[in-house]
Amino acid sequence: MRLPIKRLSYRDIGQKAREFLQTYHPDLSLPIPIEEIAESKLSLNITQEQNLKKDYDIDAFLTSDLSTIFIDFDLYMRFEERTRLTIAHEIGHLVLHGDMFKQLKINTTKDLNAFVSQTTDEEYRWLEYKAYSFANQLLVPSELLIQEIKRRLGKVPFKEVIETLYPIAQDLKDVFQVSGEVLLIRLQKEGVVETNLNGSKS
Amino acid sequence: MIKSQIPIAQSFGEFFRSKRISIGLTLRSFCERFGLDPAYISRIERELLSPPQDRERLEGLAKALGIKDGTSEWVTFFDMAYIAKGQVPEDILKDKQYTKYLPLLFRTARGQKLSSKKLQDLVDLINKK
Repeated sequence: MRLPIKRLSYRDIGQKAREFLQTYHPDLSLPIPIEEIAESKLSLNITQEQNLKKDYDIDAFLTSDLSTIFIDFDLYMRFEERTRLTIAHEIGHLVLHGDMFKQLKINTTKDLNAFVSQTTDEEYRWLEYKAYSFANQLLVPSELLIQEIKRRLGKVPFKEVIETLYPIAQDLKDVFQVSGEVLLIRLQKEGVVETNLNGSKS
Repeated sequence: MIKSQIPIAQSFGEFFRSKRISIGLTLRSFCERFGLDPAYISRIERELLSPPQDRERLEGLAKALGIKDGTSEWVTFFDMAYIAKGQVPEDILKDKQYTKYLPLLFRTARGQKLSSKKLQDLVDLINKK
């Protein structure tokens, strides 16, 4: 199966996230209320399901009718930041790949099996990369990140040494309500920290 | 892609969920605020459980949702709870052959593809077959 996946740069995906926020959360208050947006603006059902992680090694997924996000119950109850990222990730699939999924017309388990087995590793990686990049930039928008750091450092941040940012990192995690890992990736992608500590793609 | 309005509730679970969303609370925050069990409320919203039969408990839920006594919403809430009484399991049984949800997923967290059997198990799980 060749999926019609549009390849987008990190910046292009960021633009999609920005447009999404302009439409669904124009006041840009922080933290981005992603669960409320999903439920009240997108009318998505968020359904907590027991043992998705334990029995299937799955955190969450969007359904093929694009109506519902199933999420592991324990993850939802115990890990709020991860839940936020997970919901944002599934919204990323909806926004970036929703039309493509509609065209695939996955209506039966047979369709689903065919889709899963025929999706290549490269296609899978692109789909996930795009949704993950969308989620990160949705929860930590570029302009707001720079603005929050500038407020604390007293200057526009540029290739700062990590030690300079360390004291404000916890504060920023709380402001954006994301994990340290997500925050670090966002700092790297925006060129705020000096070195690329984990070798992620730019 | 985007649905602009919450549909009019056809059942107690839908009504409950749309009211919770309308007061701006996620399932987590709603349950935290009112000391409720999220697993229990999640099941009520999904109509996997009937609403409580006890009037006092129902009133507590109605008040938590911001429904005022004597309003038409109050009446609707109790009407729907009454209608739903004991019907949920039957409805689910009737739907046994109906696959409402299919998971649009790619891999597990470890990047593994699910086997056909595991995928079918998952479809059955989310459709409560």
